[in-house]
Amino acid sequence: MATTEVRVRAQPPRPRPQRALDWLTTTDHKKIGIMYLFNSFSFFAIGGAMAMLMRTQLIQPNSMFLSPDLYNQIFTMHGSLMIFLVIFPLLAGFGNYFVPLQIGALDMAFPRVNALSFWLLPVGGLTMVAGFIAKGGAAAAGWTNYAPLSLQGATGEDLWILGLGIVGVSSLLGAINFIVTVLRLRAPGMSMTRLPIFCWATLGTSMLVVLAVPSFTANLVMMFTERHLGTAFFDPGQGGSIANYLNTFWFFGHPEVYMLIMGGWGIISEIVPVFSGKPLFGYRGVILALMLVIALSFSVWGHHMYTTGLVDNSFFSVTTELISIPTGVLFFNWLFTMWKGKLRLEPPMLFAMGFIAMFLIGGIDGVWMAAPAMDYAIHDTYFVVAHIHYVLFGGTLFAVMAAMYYWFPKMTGRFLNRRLGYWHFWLMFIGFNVTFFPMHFLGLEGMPRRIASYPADAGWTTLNAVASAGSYLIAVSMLIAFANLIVSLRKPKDVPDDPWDGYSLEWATSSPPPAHNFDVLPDVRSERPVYDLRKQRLRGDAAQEGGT
Amino acid sequence: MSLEATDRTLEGRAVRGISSSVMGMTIFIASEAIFFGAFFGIYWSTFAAQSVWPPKDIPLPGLVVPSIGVALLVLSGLFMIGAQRTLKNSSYPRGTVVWVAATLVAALAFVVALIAGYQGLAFGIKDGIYPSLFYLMTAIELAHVIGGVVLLLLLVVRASSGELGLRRESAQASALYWYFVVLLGVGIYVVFYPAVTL
Repeated sequence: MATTEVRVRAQPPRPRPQRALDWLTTTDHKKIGIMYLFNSFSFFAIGGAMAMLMRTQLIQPNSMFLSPDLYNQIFTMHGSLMIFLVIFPLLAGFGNYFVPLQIGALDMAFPRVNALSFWLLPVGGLTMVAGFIAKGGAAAAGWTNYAPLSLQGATGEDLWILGLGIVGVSSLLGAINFIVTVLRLRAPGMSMTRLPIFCWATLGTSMLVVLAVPSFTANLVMMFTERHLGTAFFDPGQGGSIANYLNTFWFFGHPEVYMLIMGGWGIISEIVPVFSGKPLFGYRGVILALMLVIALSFSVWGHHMYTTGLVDNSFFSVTTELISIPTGVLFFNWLFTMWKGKLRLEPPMLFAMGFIAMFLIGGIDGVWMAAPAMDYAIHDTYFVVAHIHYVLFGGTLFAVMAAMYYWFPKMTGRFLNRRLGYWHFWLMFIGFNVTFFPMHFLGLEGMPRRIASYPADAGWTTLNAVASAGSYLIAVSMLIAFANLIVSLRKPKDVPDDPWDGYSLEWATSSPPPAHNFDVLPDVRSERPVYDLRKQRLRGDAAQEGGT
Repeated sequence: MSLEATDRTLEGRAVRGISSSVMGMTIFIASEAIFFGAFFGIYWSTFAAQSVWPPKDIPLPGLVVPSIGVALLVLSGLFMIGAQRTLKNSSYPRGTVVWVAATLVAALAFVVALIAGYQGLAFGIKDGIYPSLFYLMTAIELAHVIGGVVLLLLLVVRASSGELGLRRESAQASALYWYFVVLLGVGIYVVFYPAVTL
């Protein structure tokens, strides 16, 4: 060809240097939501690298890859970061982006407070991580930070307390913001019984934060004064009691688990109906189940203390078994939503189904451990490690990945690559099970958690090697996910308003939405306003065709 | 169309029900109640576990200065009620400044009384569970009063600039917070002074 094609890209003039400042000073809930996700995934990379170090250490008996002291710091920081700076803020990030969109609002109720609660997060997280460069290393008493072990910690322990205090303020401010937003800024017609379940879940999570986190803050304050001012709260010799530690910690600590999973339930309750082509089965039942879980979650904290002899085991056993009823109801809601539906097995749906299966295993583990007799046998073993990972990794993280594939097109105007998505799902699913399922058996065989090494004749070698191999598979799946992100972000923005035939209001605006969210708000007459709109349009088209 | 959307979501809602700031403050106070609930819970469970309360070797605090202090704190709460009334009744709340200033003076007097009360104490924070609870709870109460003083100062600024005439929600929210601090002060006073000395 003789001519050379010169393509002039139409680019609106944009003041380049302003862009970074835009992000740093923004109060737009969408930008803040994306920053939440970016921050959480960054800490996820750090926490994940720590997990790889631990699995490498445990791949063979008597390993000296990490010193026991460093191993203690690493498992402590892995747990703390994953819980407080990854899982929870990931859900808060999606909440920030999508709650205002789903209720048809312009922004959160307090946009500047929203920016503050985001910016406190990296500050708190880095404060905790800074322990690694402090004298004596990072905190090393586990994420539960039990006294009196934590009283002996070095500077890293103080940084841990300070960092979590900051993160606590961040989550409290965020929770107040979510509650006021959902209760006050809903679009006309959006009654509480038409509210998307994800918004209900975020509301529920926020209620838990408001009522539970302050107990942990009190715990942190006492821990700090105990270390530096010589108070006697946890010192039995001076009239205090270790029960003061356990009660203030677990009164927060168990509702915390529901804070970390409820957003996941919300995400799954959004995705499963859309990809089954049916409304959510028993919408009101789901809301009732969420509310029951919230109410009951404040009555179960003693099940973390069965073996201490400080609590009434039968009482806490009954309440804990009770809470599995509303949780079980949710499974039937999801399954009956899929029943006879037209399933579309896109990556979001695959991750959602993975969530349901994995969370079921985690839930059943929980039912086992709620029985004190069983708990005495497996307390502080790898069985507990398996359980928590089936709930938080197999559960929430699968939900987060589902949400990522589901909402990425809305957030960026680009689809994530489907083929890479399938690879990501299957490798993560297989890797996850290969890593964590054997831990059940390790626990039953008596392997204690949080040990830096184990003897060769304990009989734990093979299963540990299998678990470590699985963890590398998870790492590969995460690299694929990262590659997918990079590849997809380089593609042109070509996603329509409603790529999945969605139900809730975020699909009624452009992808990505304009700064003011909506040009026109559709009428809300059911819990599926965008579905109604689509049907209305179809009917309109049919009527027009009939007329001409 | 975007204007219409604005009208239908934010502004349309704002006229109905309680304001966002009052709702936000109510939720915040609920969380504060849990925070103090943790300390009151420890106080109660320790009290229930001990045969003598406070423990024998603890010299009891004097009753006079703290009682004057808590009376001043309650007085500041009453002044705050006055301030809220002026907000409700007049279209341009000029009297609010005076009432809030009176609240401020009473609050600062309480702070002085609390710190003066520390002077006469014969026990330090390291002397066991009762002193630990005593110092920590009163100190956190002090921090909350000082936080409240900052809120009240902001209120005075807003009232004198006339902003309060247009937007009163923040004043209502500050008042709610102040009532909470007063109630808390009374609760802490009761468990640490009359309950153990009388």
